[in-house]
Amino acid sequence: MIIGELKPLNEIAAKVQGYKRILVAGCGGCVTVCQTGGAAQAETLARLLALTLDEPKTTVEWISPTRQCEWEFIEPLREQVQNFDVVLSIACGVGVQAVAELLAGFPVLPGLNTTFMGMPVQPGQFEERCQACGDCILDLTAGICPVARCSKSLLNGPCGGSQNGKCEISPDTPCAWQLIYERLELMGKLENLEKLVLPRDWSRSRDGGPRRMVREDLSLDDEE
Amino acid sequence: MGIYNDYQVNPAVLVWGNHTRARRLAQAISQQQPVIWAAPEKPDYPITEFPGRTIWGRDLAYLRGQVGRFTIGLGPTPMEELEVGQIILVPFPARPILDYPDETSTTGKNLVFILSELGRGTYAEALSQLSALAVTNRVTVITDDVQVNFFEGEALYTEARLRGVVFIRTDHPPVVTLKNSTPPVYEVQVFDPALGQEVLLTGDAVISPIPSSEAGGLPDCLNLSTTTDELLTHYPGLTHREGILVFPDREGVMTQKEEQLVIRAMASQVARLATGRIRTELYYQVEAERCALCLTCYRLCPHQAIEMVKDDTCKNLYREACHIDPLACRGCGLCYAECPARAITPLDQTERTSPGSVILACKNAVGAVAAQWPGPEKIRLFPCAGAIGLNDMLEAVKTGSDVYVIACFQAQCQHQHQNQRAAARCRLLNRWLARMGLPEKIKFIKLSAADRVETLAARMRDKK
Ligand code: SF4
Ligand code: SF4
Ligand code: SF4
Repeated sequence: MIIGELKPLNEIAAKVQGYKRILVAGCGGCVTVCQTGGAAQAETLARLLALTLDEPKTTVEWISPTRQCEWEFIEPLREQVQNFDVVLSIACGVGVQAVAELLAGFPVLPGLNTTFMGMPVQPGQFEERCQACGDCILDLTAGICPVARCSKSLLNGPCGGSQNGKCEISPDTPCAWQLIYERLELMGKLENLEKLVLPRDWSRSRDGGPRRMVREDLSLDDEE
Repeated sequence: MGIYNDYQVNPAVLVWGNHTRARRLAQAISQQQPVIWAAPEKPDYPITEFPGRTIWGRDLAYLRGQVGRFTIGLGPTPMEELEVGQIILVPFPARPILDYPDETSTTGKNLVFILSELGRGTYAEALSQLSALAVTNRVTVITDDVQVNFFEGEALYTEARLRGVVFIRTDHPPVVTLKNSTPPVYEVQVFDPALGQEVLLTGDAVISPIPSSEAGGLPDCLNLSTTTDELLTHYPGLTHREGILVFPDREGVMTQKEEQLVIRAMASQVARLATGRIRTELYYQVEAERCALCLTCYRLCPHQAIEMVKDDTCKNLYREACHIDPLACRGCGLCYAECPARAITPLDQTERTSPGSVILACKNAVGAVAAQWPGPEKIRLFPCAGAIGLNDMLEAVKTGSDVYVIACFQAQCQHQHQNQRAAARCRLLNRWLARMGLPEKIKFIKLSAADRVETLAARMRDKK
């Protein structure tokens, strides 16, 4: 799931300066699950903003569509923004862009920093797991992604900075290659480490520019 | 007024353990409802005429369901499933082992004892040992609570203090590090609430109890908190999970008479399901349409009262939603405060509406003070400090006044340390307010039901 973190509140407050009628838009998808952009957080943010902006001249309200990244779910926003000057979205960047596109021309501001794709490893603690590199190699690395979890994204690790199972960037960060080693050992497949992973095709990652995915059967274009 | 409902439940009780007290308990329960008596090992005393079913030689492998409808997996393979409504664990009583240094040969040493989650049996022995050691050594004891509730207990404790034993009472677990030196020196860092700060002790030896190998642990699959003091405070052996009880007195210091009293109390506790029907109050409800299945409530519920239910009547994306079991829920409101989708609603609205309140209080913490409070600040009561959400606090901030969030002391919280969660929320909100250039208006106060109006007033003044 996509993880996001609320922007520092002073930054948010500065962004909405000058707007009189603000609509905070949460999202019922990923950012609800990571407890940063759901309905409850939209309400909290609306309440906090109402405190700083000089009420009663400003109004701050909130909504939270099922998912901000789907036209059907955000369509009602066209109607709903009639009484507002700005939308402050706390969905991920995908949601913000969808709303901005739907309301083309209407100011839509991001209230959240989209941080990574990850999972809750325990209540209230989220960790990055995938970087959407476009060419998954988890089969070679015992199900642990070195692209996302090695600080240097090494495909042939570990590097010399791996110490006591931790990454040199911080003693709180496990070395992904240590984890891979341990898991391969468990699987009796340590010989995988001897197979060099050759340079890969990064064009399927961000290096190839913005990516698209097409399911032909679902997206019939009238070609005939 | 609350909303009540009737439910059908399984009246059967599983008594787990082979000590003689387990047998007596099972026997007592068998007079009122079906009972199954089981243990990993067959008792080594003759059992005659036990009226219920007995099962020996199996382990508790898994547990599903909730009070009134538990399914228990008995291992090892082939698995057997057992349906019961309630479970009572009777751990084999045994005192943990404390390896006291020999008082005649140990002199001039710094000795640090770490004693926590222990019963009076251990203290009865420890207090005199500590006094003896303190004659020629420096003795410090880090403890969660000194138990003196036994014959001459108070006197032994006083004596130990007079002999120079220093007691540090704290809920914070100490951190012990071994310095690389010969002979070895230990550093013990611990928060001393009496001083309000961390203290650093050095010791030539650190002594803490090792569980006796005879003592039966609590099976992992039941997900019980293992702190004995928590189990003991809720007489007779109630745990944080509804329908699962643990026989108190893990150290086996009870007299026959005391044991008989506990057996009677436990039997009448489980009797509430004896008829197979029960009426209970519903506190909170998940609105499935809004549930994003984020599992926040499922993971955080202190009583594990929440289940995921797959059901086509759930009108949301997943056709599945979290569901609060009305019998297992103790109405603490934590899930309501934390649900990011605002999918959880309180069913009893009476406590909710109190506009203009700036004292947001756990009703157990304020106790009688709530009714006697002269004002002018208005009090809004919550079932637990864990139910006081950020949005409730912000509603109070709107009044422009300072906002007081009142929680119980840790040991008194009935819902697993929600005082800590409330304190963390207050810190978070203050940080946010400060970020926005607003004053940090949220004041966190601990109170106990025994405190008086003046105490609350004084603590509020201190926070000004
Ligand atoms: S808008 Fe972003 S956060 Fe919301 S559901 Fe879509 S991807 Fe997830
Ligand atoms: S916290 Fe709310 S949204 Fe999340 S699972 Fe529970 S009821 Fe559903
Ligand atoms: S009110 Fe408390 S006990 Fe009941 S389901 Fe919610 S968190 Fe669990």
